[in-house]
Amino acid sequence: MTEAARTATHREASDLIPESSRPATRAALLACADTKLLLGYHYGEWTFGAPALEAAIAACSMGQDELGHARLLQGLLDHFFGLTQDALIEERPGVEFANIAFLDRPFGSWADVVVANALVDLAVTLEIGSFRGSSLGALRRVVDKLLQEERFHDEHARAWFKLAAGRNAASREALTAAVRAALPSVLAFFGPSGSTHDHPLLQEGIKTRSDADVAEDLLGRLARLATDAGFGPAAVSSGGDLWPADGLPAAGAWNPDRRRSDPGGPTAEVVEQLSGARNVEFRRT
Amino acid sequence: MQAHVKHNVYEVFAQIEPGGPISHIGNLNAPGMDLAKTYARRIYDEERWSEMWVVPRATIEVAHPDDSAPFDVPPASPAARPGS
Repeated sequence: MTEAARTATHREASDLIPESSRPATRAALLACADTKLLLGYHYGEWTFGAPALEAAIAACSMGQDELGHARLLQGLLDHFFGLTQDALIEERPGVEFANIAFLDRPFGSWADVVVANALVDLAVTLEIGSFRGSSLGALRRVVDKLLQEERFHDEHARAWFKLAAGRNAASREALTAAVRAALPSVLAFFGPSGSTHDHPLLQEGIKTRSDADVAEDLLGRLARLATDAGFGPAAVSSGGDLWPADGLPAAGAWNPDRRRSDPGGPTAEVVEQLSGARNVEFRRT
Repeated sequence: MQAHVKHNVYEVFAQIEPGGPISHIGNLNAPGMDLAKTYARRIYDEERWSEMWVVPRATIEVAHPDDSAPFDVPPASPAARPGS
């Protein structure tokens, strides 16, 4: 468990969430927790199969961070909403998970790991950053520690992104395909254009930055990274090299409770592994 | 993406106290300096280092290959001896 995950939370007056803000706060924390859980799963899987032992150590280490963060966020979901770990992990089918949909499927190559690191990991980190200075004390106290532990992930992602883009045509093509596959679900995490889902949270001071701002920030960072990696300056704009050929999902498909447009979810096999159902006899009583 | 990316060896140095002795703490393989620095911080995290340095092994030059070797001068020429 990471240092951030060991930070205890204590119920206090500042942790009362107005009724109008509860659904969106719950959805945001759940989406972050589930995405980090799935990121931890995929990073952990790529402890083996990474291009070198050093890359394997990095993947394993990032996986450990993400699982620790997921556990910490699950603790906050229990603290604020009474969602127990059993309810979150053991009793939910995949179609109720709120992770960024790019993580639903197995990663086919190291390019998927690099893109999950560069886009999905960054998206959750920026979203958690939008709770900096939150009016919710228990949440506010853990944000900086979570962000500190993500610095390594960002350095790792940017270095590998540039390396993959510049190595040869095949690695650049694999990276491009992975970005195009990931981008719709990453942007869906922040809601469709013009969405007001987080306005109550901003009014209450629960969030200090809107999801629209965060999505714009993410695209700006990705555009700078793409430029550094030798793609054109408009690569992350509509019609650009890294932009999804089919565009973004329709606004009407967006599910505010899962913060995604894709109706699917992680496979039953993955959910079974996440829940540890095969080892139920060792579970705590 | 092909898995076999060319890696180079990097030597890792660090110091615990600012201004204190610099220790060689190990090495690692990385495909470039950015990842070498990133990997070094994560792999060699057993101490709270004040500074850490990563150096490509290929750039390190041997300063004293053999301390016992004499200063290299040409042998004395008999014609140059005084009185000869």
